[in-house]
Amino acid sequence: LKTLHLGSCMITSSLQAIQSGFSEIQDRQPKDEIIDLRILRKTQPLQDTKPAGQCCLLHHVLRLYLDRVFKNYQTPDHRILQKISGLANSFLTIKKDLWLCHVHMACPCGEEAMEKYSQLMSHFKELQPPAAVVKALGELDILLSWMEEMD
Amino acid sequence: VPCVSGGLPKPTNITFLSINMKNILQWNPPQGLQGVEVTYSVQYFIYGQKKWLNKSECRNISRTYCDLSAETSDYERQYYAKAKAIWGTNCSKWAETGRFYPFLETQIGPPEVALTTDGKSISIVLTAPKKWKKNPEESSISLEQIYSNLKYNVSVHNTKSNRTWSQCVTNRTLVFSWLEPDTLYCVLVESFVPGPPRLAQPSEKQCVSTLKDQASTLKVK
Repeated sequence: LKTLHLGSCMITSSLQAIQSGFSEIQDRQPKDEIIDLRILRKTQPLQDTKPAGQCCLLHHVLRLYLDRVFKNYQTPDHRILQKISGLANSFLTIKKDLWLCHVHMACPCGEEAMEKYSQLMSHFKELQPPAAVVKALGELDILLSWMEEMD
Repeated sequence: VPCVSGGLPKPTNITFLSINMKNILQWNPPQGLQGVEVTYSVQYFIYGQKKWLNKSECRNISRTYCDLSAETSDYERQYYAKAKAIWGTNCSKWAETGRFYPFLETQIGPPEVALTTDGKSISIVLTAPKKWKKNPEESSISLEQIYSNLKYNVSVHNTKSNRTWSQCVTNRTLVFSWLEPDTLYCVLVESFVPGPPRLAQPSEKQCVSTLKDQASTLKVK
């Protein structure tokens, strides 16, 4: 288990299990042909966000993945769908923990976090929904490495 | 002179071989062209940027690898690379890698291992591997600075009992006491980072012998 330090919010997460789950489907993804556009950009990583806003930004990003990526991912391969629902459950667990921080006033949504999230959403919306889903799923390794650096 | 694209088969198995962020693009020659003097050209792409970039030192080369370490040194970015075969006025289509993410994919080389003994116990001091650097004059970056969760798998083999003892540690100094006298102990160490699976390279085996029960000089093999 890894402890994520998000300002005054601290949660534990099985990042390694999530990474392993993603590694198993990474090579069986449709190829992301749009290589000149990146959703999770180096200029807006989670870990460079002020600690106070990290919890809020991560909460919003996880919600994006749950509501618009995992839910809309389509493939005839049931094993991949199984893996994706496993990833979704892991994200749901983290999101619930972040929600508890929110309840305890430890997950404020400052201007910086919301600005970064809106930039990220604008990149996501630049693409047609199916392409955005494929790209976002393909960038899960980026998100997980950002989360890995939040110790 | 632009070549006729598709006139040759593409290079195959194009991948990055990355160790400590030294990132080498490598490929196999196109199939069915044995004995033909093919040359290659390479381009690379920074994910999210706008265009493919030439690697000038890898234009019309006959070798089947190209060092892209400098071009891919920002390990938090992701990259693509591609190579094509050229023969006369004919050339192949590009053969392209998948997305390469140095931060997650580079192999972590072994640490430096310093082994000493006082005759009864063994001390092991580890020095983390260093990130590849362009110029020797540049200051070194330890991979510990990049991977805060870098760990070491230390294996100590008792050559007399043929038993091996292993432990995963994060500290870089270890002392093993209560060893058997007059016994050769051999040590291997691997670095690793928890997360996605990566290939690992063990250190070279180093051995040291404990003293006989009565005082005698130390033998280091």
